[in-house]
Amino acid sequence: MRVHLLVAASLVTMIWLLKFLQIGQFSTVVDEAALAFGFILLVAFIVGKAVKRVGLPGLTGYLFTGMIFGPYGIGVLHPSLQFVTAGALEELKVFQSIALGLIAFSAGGEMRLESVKKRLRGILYVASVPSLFEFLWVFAATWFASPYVDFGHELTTAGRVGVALIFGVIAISVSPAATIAIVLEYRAKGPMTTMVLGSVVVKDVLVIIGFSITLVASKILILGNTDWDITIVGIVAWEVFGSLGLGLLLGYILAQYMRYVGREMPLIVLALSFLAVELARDFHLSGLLLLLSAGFYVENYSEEGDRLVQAIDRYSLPVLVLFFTMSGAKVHLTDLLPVLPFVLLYVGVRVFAVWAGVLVANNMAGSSTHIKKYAWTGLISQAGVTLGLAALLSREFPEIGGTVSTMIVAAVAVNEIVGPILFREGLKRAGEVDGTDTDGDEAPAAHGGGH
Amino acid sequence: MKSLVGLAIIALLAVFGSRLLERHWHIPGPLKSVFGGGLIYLVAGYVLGPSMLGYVTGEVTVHLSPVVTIGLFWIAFLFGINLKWRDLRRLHNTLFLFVFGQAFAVVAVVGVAFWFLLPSVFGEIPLRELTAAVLTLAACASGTGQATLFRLKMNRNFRGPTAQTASVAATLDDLPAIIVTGLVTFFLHEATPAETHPPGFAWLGLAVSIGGLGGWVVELLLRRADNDQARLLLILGCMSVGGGICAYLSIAPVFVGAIMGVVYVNLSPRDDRVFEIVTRSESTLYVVFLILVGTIVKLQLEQLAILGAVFVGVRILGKVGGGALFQHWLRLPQNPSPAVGLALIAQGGLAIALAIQYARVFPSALADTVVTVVIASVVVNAVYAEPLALRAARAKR
Repeated sequence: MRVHLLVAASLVTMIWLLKFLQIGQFSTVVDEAALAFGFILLVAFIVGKAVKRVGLPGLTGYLFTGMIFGPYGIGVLHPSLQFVTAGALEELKVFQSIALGLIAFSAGGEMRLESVKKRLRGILYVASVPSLFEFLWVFAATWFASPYVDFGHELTTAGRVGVALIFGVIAISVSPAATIAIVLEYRAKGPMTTMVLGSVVVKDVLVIIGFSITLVASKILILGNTDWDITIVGIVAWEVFGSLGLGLLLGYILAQYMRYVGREMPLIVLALSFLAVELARDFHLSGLLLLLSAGFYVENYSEEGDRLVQAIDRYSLPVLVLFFTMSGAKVHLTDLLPVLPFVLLYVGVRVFAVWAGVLVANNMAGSSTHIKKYAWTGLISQAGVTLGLAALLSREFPEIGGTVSTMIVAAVAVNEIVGPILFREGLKRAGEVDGTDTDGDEAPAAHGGGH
Repeated sequence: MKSLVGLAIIALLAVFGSRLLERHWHIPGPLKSVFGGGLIYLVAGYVLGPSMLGYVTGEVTVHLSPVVTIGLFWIAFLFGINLKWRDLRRLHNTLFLFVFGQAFAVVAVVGVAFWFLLPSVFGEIPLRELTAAVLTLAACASGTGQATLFRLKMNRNFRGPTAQTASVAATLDDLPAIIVTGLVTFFLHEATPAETHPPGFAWLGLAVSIGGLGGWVVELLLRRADNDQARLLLILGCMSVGGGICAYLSIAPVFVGAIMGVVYVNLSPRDDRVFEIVTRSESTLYVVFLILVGTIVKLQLEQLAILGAVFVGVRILGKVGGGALFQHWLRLPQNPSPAVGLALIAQGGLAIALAIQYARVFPSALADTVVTVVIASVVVNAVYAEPLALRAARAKR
């Protein structure tokens, strides 16, 4: 490990010196992206290994690396300390789409039909009850706290309800990517893993529906905009069912390709992941649901599941490292401090709501003790989806959106760090790390390639 | 991002299309190696790129420039890790003389031909630019594509003394080309006012140091990696950092990448896992690299007809003549056929990489032509390189 850290430190020093002494220059920001790409891979991987030594998930190390070496980390002190600039991040966005796609493919490939069927009731409870709890608790907390926050002074009572609704629905969102990445990193398998993965997916659907409804309601309450657009129902239905349907179709096509051609699989998977995520955005679909159902189809309705997992497996580590380091690099550390009290309140209330909600849900579903105790840990992370919602808010509510968005982004930063650590601990205590299974009701499936 | 979506669609179409064609259409013998060697992606890139159908815009090429940088480094690293001193020292001295002799014969004939031909096509060219273009073309001509001979060995029983000699030559004869093109970028590149290029020797020293240090770091990291995923990540990371630093300092990535590969493999000669990972992952990167390269080809038919035909013709002359001459003169212990040069006609990705590297350092219309000529030659040679190599292997000794 010492050698790794020495290499990382030398690399940081060398790049800093080159930039500080201005020995050369990049002709375009695109060239800069190649160096940033390599820098992220090497340094984040090494930091990830180092934090694993102290019992934290590698993912936390990747996030920290992004926060420190990204454009809003130490780079604000001096331009020579900008190891990953905002321009380079923009150029590397392509890898975020690929990563998101691969993560969704993996998640789909991890979900066995029998296992999901067996726990369907539990999954639905664990997704819906905590969502309701999160919504209500965060709604109430925001309502009571809003008079003490900057934007609260300017709002009417109806406006405060509108803002509370927004925070409530945003609290429901989780980061499927972070949850799935932890499952992959620790090769987790078992009933709790299946339940958390399934719940995260269902929650994603709930967020799509909930956010669309809340957005309309908040517009009426905050802006007094009473134009009710009925097409919103169609849009939401298209996003959910269209994504699932097209995903299954994509899964079918992919399975046929694997069966009859089967060459250049890693390239096919990488290109499909990128394409699906990008095109889904254009056609108002959910890239995550689309690829997840494609992976689910290949795993459960064809004989090519293992080959798909192998193809994904080959590039999954570099892609995950890039994805989470870039997510960390987008966190504005300097924006976190002014809104910290509200953020801590939001995070605390949300964590409590998830814990209580999962406990109630598992009691209703009659889950095992381990699931009751630890499944909540998998529903804490927030990242990409939440940030996307925050960006949408800034656009839709220009007057208050900026502050609300900053608060949400700051809360995401905290949840992004805390969530994976909690989930890793939860998996460990539930005995599902490395495919071990204490409940004994689901043997770890033999999966080609492993992770 | 939209333009990248176009490229991803094209990559998918190219892969699907070429595999479907291979499966359901009888590919005439000479074209098989174009498909088998992946050169079809180069053609697909050209057809779908801005020069023909325009599905891939110039913007894509700019955005994916890091992929090309990493691709150049990757190809060079792959070449470098073939040069294990442990294996090379077992070779007979005369074999080295043969390999480098025939390579220099090609450099000489192609160099002389283009020294006179380029000014007659382009008019007056500044001496520095002309020298760089001629040396690059000559260097690109001197190497041999290893993949073609490897494929023949696997599928067509390409064996015997001639095949063995040709395989050794194909492994080594790109070395002079890498050195020559590296020196071209260090000594003939005129720094712009914004660039702070030190004198050529200092730049050469810097490149060697970066390559050497990089190779050592790769070895340090890979020795401690515990699985193939981590190894791939570390290799990819080192390639990208190396390529990025080369772009930052405007130095030749192929030269540095090859040194990195040589240093790595000789510090860790018993570890073949990296070779497996690099070759296994190569195809993904290579397909994207070839498609991208295809999109930047600017085909000027009149020029290409003359320059391309001369390049291909003179190169064959150099390879066959040089091979026969040095075999006759050195009397190699393997006793290959005098037609051994016929087995050295194939060209590989390294020739394209060297041309692209040159075009990045000396961007001009002349550089575009050099790239196009080299790419055209790689595709054309792929058509008949395999039958010629088989003929050479069966020729009387």
